[in-house]
Amino acid sequence: MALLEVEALGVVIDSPRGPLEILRDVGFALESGRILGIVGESGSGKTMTALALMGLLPPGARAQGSVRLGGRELLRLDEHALCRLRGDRVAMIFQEPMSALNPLQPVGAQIAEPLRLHRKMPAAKAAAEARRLLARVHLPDPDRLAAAFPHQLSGGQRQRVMIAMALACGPDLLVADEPTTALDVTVQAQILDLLVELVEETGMSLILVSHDLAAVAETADEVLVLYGGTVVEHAPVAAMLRHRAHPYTQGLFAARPATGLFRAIPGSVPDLAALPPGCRFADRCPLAIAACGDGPPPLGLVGPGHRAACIRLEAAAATAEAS
Amino acid sequence: MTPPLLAVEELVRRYRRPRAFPWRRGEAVAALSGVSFAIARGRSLGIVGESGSGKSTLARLVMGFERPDAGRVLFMGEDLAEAPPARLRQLRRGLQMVFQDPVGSLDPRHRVGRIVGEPLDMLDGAARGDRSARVAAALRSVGLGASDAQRYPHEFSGGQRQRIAIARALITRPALIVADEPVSALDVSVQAQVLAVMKALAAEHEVTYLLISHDLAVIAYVTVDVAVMYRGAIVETGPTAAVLERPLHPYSQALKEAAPRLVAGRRRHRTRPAAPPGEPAAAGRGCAYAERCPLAQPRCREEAPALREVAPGRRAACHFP
Repeated sequence: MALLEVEALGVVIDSPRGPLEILRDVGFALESGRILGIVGESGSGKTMTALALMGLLPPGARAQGSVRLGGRELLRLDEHALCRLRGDRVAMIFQEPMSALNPLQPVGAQIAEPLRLHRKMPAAKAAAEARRLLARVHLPDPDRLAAAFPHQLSGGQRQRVMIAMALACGPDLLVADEPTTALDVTVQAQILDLLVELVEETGMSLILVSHDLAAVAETADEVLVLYGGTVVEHAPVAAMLRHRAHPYTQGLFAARPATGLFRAIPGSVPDLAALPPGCRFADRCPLAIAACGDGPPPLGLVGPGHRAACIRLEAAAATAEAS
Repeated sequence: MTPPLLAVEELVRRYRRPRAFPWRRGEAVAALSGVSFAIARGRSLGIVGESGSGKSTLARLVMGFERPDAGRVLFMGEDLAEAPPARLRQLRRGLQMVFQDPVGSLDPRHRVGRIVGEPLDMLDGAARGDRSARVAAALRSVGLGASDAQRYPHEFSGGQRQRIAIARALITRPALIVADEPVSALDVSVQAQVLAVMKALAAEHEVTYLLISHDLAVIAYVTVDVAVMYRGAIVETGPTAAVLERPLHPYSQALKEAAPRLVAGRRRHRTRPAAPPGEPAAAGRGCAYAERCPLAQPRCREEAPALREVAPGRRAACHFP
């Protein structure tokens, strides 16, 4: 049994025009010690997926489907049970550590908080453990840093503090939502290296949510590509680098200036208030036919562990071959 | 000899930190400490650097939004800070800017036609005559239609809005456009729209760019030359292709190495080097990068390296390039 099993996960929000299915039919399984990357552009549903896993959806949004952690169904847990789980078995880090940290409390005390809450650890012991965690995320001079306030730290240091806090109780799963987007390139590389190092040493699983295909490719074991709230492709990273099955994934690769092709995908990301009944990429897809609008395309197998949701996979494979 | 399109000479800009105590003045920090370069017509220059490198300060000084504490900015041989108001207006036509945020930089209450035509209003009456034709031409140059002039900014996607901002910059037929992170707020799938428009304009309208970006791939696509900045100074400069292929300064090398690459599991299962010693340079002396540099020698902490020619056409500020 995999550590995390997600089946038919959906998120519905109420709008004046009725319920909107902003996330539809997301499924994957994640083993211990593995890294899953979730890639998508704005409105793809990547952050909604992360929040739904954590039971942190905003008011008005409902999750449906199934999320099982170690066999236990999370979507039917009440808030009290979720609170006991979050920060203990599952932890999350965010894009902007400054807004996730309390500006009025020294960072050492903030890292100690989950230990005192979940482990009922006495204050002195928790403070000592916080300093050990600061050293664990390679922050220099942990004794001095534990007494520092968030505004006295750099962006990279603040993200390391967030990671230390997330690690405090030794979680089974860490969800990182765009953890390096607000950081400089060299600092981003260091934070990704730190996350990989922690996965390899502790055996926890990591879900890395990012808009950056390359950052995910070099960090994760497998990747889930989301578009307009649906999974368009799911594959081991190496398999996807060899062969992009879905026209959207192909377009995303070609849209990077680093590649020789370099062309934009025409149009723009879909409006979540006006999602089409069929394939959500059809209006931008060079291979779209009338049948693409009929209904959601099923996830078809294109290789070992490699699936893509498209009814034009053969045509897409032919274009990939040609370019 | 014709002067370069833009020449920046020994530019210095200091800011004061907020005061730590009410009775003390804030400490002065140099955002730019003696930056010089020149851009010839047709040789777009990319500026790469991380936060705090001074690249956005540089853009503001070039545009004349702020005065330097020392040094000069010469546009077509003339110092904008010295030019009389009438001459300044003339020169300003040739110099435009595109900002990072395509939402904040377009007035939501104005139609696109008014936004794009606005720079014409500060020109003399003769140029104002064919306003709607000029607006339509500018919109067409960025891949939009003449009828889009009647619409409002919110009706456009992010990529289209950034192209509207480029049309507004283009309308005075500028020789130089300063673009500060023009695509970093956009989704990956539409960045190419904007970059392709920028590149086409360089060829068709003889626009030269001063392009500021943290993304090496963006710099590589648009520019001919590149300058790498670190803490207010240029540490390396040269032809873009050569610098990105084989960077000579340790900081440029670190930037290239850190940039995400489509290599499966590059960060997985590898031995990690121990963190660099991180010994800071003696106050006010030495190389600013020495504390992060894996190759730093004792000399680097004593003596600041000057930007000098280290290979044909290549300059770097390093004792051991």
